[in-house]
Amino acid sequence: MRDVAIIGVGLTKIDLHFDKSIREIFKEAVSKALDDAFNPVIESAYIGNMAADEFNNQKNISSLLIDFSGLNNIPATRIETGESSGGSALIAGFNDVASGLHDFVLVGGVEKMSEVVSTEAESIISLGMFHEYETIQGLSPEGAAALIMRLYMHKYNVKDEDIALLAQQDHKNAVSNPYAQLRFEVTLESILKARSIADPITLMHCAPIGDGAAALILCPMEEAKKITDTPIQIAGIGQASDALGLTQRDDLLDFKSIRLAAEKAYKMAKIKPEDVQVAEIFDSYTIYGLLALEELGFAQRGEAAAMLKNGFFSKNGVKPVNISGGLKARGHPIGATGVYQTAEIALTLRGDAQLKIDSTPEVGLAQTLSGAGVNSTVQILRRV
Amino acid sequence: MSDLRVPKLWREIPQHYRLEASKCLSCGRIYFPPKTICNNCKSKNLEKTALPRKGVIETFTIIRNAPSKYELYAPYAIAIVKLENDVKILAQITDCEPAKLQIGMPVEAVIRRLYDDGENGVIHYGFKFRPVF
Amino acid sequence: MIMKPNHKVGIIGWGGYIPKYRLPVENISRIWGKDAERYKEGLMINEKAVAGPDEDTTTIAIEAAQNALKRAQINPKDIGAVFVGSESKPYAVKPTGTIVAEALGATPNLLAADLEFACKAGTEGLQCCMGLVSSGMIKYGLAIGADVAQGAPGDDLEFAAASGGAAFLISRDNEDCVATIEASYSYVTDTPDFWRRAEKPFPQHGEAFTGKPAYFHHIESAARNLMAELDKKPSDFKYAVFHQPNGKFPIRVAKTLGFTTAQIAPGLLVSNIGNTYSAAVPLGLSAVLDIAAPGDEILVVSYGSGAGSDAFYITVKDAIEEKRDRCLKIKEYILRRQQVGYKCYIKWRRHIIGQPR
Ligand SMILES: [Zn+2]
Repeated sequence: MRDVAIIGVGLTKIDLHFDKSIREIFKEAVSKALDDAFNPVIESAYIGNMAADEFNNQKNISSLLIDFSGLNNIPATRIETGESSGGSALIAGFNDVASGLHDFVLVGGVEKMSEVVSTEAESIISLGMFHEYETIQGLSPEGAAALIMRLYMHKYNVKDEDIALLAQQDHKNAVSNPYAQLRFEVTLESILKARSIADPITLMHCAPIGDGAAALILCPMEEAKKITDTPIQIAGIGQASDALGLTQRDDLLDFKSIRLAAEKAYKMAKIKPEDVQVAEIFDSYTIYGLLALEELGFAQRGEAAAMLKNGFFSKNGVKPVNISGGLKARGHPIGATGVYQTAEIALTLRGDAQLKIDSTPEVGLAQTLSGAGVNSTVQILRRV
Repeated sequence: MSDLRVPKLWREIPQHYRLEASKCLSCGRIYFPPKTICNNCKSKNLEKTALPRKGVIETFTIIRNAPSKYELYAPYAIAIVKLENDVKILAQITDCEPAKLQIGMPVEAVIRRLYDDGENGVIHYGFKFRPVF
Repeated sequence: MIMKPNHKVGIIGWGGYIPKYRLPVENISRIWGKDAERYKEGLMINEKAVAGPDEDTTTIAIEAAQNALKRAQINPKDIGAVFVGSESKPYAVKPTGTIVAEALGATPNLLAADLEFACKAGTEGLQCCMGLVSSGMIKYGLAIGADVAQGAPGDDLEFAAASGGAAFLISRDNEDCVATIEASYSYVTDTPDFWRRAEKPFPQHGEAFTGKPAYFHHIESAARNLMAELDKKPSDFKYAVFHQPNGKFPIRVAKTLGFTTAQIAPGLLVSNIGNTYSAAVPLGLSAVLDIAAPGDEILVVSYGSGAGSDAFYITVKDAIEEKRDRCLKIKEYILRRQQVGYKCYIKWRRHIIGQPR
């Protein structure tokens, strides 16, 4: 298996892009990534996208997007694992390069959500739940997160204001990220006073709806070194699934898929959780972010909130998390999110001005999640 | 969004009306909805069993932003109920004021309208739970 | 003509259901600028039972039937027929009985049919079951009366039209039966006192015409003829249950026939729950069985507009004592009560134009 590197990163600003089509935002990300990689000849493409069928009335999305990006006739595959589609696309691209099948591979992620009104968007995202046993009961994705959040608060005696700290930190970090959707700070009070969606989850515990596209160019490490001074190695990858139905699991607070994906990635990168210097975690709801911090081994069970409180995960803390602004404030264009996260870690490790932190980290981690722990991917990046 | 797929829910009637589950004859694990292979011991020897109709609330939420076609019921509660045999089931809690809900509350299964596919559509019935009285 | 089965039949299980929600008369009268006292005194109704937003005739019938099954403790697969009597079927075309049978686990080898005869469709099911069971065509029959009664907003009917249901499992008479249905008598004529045209949401009625030539004539005729055939007099009965569109009619008909208030009080539920249409008499009988003792004799007379009455002579047996406490009683359902406002009621009944349904 060959070592794989990221040599190009392209991001678009996440927003409600009413004036742009899914083709245009995707092309923008691809062009930026290609320019960043000094325009190699791309041989294949993997595109993370959850629901173009429903949001955009479009299947065969990979062919459409690749054509409009000017990449004629290359093999192009859309990858769907719900909200973690971007992470899964990256793994597919990694496999393609590592196996030796192709040298220069595009990994993209895109979601264009603003074509529909919010109730419709809600219904589309709800398709990720177990229809006959969850959705049919009137459960929403927020409701699923709320069931877990209440249990977490009950079991670990944690208050909602402690969990809200993650949303507050996300917003603070997003201010300096030019690609973030919500670039403003929020008070803890405004989070708690926000409109309730599904008790105890308020609007401010949830990621917003937005449009975005992100792209990465992968190639073998030996090629990367010829092209750039700052190749970023994909040092470890891991993926794991879990039962779709919440009641199929023994312990609702055990997000096993994150833990198993992380174990694989750590083993492959030959590192331990404490070696991770910077991370982008998947907080589609704040509670899922806390559970991710714990399952990734950054915090003991039930202690993530306390560590957030003492600044452990803040931008200049011991282990900065979500310096992009996270899903809450950078935004969550579903199928693109995993690609954004990986791209952001790559930029931080490169010391890129836009996502720079005071320290000069060498090892970073990006984690994606679908639904309430249904599927997880973990990507470990290393500056070489 | 998506309209009701009639056969898809019709097939679930034994589960939705009568809480039919499957039990692994090798290790005793019970699955709801029923499975034909045991995740625990990989046995394919499972038989039909009915779940108990009483349990306690393990966790709950109150849906205030209701999905499409559930707006009439909002605000409504959804809980994960731990049944008397420890099998867990996710269901709406009906006939209960949101403020009265709490973890550990005893509840029992009832059959209610689960989904009404508009004025011309089919009405799908199924289990919900309510406080024991 | 008196209907007496060749082989005696009995009730082997009974059960009722009343939704939790109550709409007081004041909450209706205030909206329409009417005098609440006139309805409370005139109709003797204080409040009515209202189905929740996820309830309908089917769900009500199911819980009533589940209760009857809990008391009967028979194998549901031995039920040979299900009759659901109602004038508020959720579907115009698609049986309610199949849904009930499926919920009980009685399918697929049985007969299922929905009956309609205004407020007496529930008792017709009893007669159908009596015939099928007595003849030996089926082992057990299930007769249900259930309604989520309609009354147009602002109409007098709105003060009374309520929700509820009751179910009876009928068997050849044996020691497991809680009561024997000794005989029945039906009396019908073409009397259009109350009706609902096809595809119309609310019934129309003839106001005072619903009284003397309709309700009173049919109930009195059925009751008198049955008692005459059986050589029975009012004082022979411990209890009597009459159809109860309001509180006044059954009290008056009891008096005319020679029954006392004490005889009808246990089965007279209308003041607290309203007129549950097809379920009114079945619920009244259920409430009586909830407290009856072996040896008690009961006269039951339903009334359905259009018009007709079914009368029954029922004698209570020993098994009632051990079966009584196997499920929730009518009184417990009446005590489980949560008041709702008129706007909530209108929303739940899906009467607001453009509202989510
Ligand atoms: Zn097993």
